[in-house]
Amino acid sequence: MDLRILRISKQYKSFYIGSAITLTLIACAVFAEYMSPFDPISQDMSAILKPPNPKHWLGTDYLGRDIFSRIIFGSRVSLMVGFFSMLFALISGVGLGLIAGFYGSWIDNIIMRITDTLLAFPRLVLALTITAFLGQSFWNVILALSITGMPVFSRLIRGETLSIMTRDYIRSAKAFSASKSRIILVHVLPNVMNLVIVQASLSIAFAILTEASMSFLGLGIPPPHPSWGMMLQSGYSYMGVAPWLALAPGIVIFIAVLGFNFLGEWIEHYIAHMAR
Amino acid sequence: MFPHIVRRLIYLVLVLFIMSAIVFFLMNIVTGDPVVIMLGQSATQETITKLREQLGLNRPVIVQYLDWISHVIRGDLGDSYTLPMTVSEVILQRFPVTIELTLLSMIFSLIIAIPLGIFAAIKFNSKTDITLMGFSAACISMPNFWIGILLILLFSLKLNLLPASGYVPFLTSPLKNLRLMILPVVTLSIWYIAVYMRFTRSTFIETLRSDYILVARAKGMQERRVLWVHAFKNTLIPLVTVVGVNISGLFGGAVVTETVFSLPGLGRLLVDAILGKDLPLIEGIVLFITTAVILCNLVVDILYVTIDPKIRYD
Repeated sequence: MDLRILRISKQYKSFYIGSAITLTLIACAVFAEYMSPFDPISQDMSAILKPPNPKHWLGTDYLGRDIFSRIIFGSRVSLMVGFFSMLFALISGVGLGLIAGFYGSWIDNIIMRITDTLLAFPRLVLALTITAFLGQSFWNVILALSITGMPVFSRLIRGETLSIMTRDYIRSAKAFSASKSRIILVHVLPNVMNLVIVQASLSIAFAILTEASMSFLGLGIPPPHPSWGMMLQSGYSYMGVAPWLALAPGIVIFIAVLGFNFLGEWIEHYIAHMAR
Repeated sequence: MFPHIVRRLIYLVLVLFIMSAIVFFLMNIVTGDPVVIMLGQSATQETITKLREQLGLNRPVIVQYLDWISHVIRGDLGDSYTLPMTVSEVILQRFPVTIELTLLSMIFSLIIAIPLGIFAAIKFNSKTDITLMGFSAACISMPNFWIGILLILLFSLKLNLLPASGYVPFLTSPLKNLRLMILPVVTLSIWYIAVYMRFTRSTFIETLRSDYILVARAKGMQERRVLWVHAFKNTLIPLVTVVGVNISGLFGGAVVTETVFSLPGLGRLLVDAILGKDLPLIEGIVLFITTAVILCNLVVDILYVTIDPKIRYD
């Protein structure tokens, strides 16, 4: 392992906070069955709307379900939504950005006009509309979030590709008759990866926030998956009598997004530091 | 300047055309038969065929699109399935609420963020700077509807200071209107305060390091004059860009904020339209919001030239 990464990491507390939060979330998502004290969907009618207590650390909801267990299982849904929507947006956005920047001309024009059109839509409005059209399901929500995330990647990568295409090593690759696919995959793609990684981390945070907003509006991940946004939505109705129902999932969404934002920030600093 | 505005208007028409095509084809191809959605699964085949002919849905999709777009150009967005009004009427009725919310939020966030950002930049690397940056990192990571819930819990349910929901038009009762808008505006603004504050801080730090500031200080100019006359003006220009980019997000944020505070705006109307499968209404709202966003961006473009005469578009 490059020791410089550790040296630079020491300068940024955001690296420790970001990675600690992200690793804890991943652990919760992977080992949810072992970490949660109760079944997240089993109802206990004798323990309805119980405030936080030694048995139920974060209390129970209106069906007597354990909030802590539901939050742990909810991490699985939120992380999967964040990761897959980022992955699909990354693959399609980077692909389109590379093609637009490399070929230019009318191909660039068509791709960029579609990208601009998608960017003109408020992202939440676009995600809600797509989900409304496709129907509410786990993968449709991911697809909607991927479509809204894709233009950010394509705009970013297209700009960087245009700049890379003017460099000497690209000219020499062309002079050596390197194929177009080789230039794109071997010479351009590795040089845009820094930007891609930073944007990927921020995209996960954004997808988690947007999915939470969609679920809150009743158009996110449908039941029975325990999603943080849906927990917040149902808790909102009981705010006067059981505020912990809305507080706990909100705090967890906040911590998760903070973790990915810190990690993205650190990667950005690290890349800038290495470039110096 | 004038040729640039003309070019931007042509571009706006092109984007609107692509956008209308995306929305129309999504509605007509991906969702399936709108007549079945309107009548429900229990409708007889005869009724479905009759309504389809009545609405002109038996024609080829491209003919339907051209017919629809010719109506849209004339301001006719069709009839709502769920409300006894045309889509244009409903939108015009609800739009003032959304524009008031977004405008007040934009102004409020800038009023708070710019002084805080400059203060953090002046106190660079101090405890004040670190605290302000920590506050902004926290605000950026919070879902705005959750902030709304927390504000309702504190100011409405615990302290009983401000109303949790409701809306009175500004012209009917300005004071009551502003009182009802305090919590929604703060909710929608928090994220933007954090973003603008960070941006102002970093731009201000960069400006303070530039040569002309060094020269101004070397000439013995008063520090207050250096900060407010020279550095401040140059920080505003890039900030206008960021504000322009975030207009689209403000409209998105309004959807959730209006739902939390039961404001009868376009955002809440969109959610209701989606839940009620009112396709013409969804289509109309999306077209309207996106057109508003693009027009706002055009205004921002024109503002650049006013703020910085060095910028020439032609």
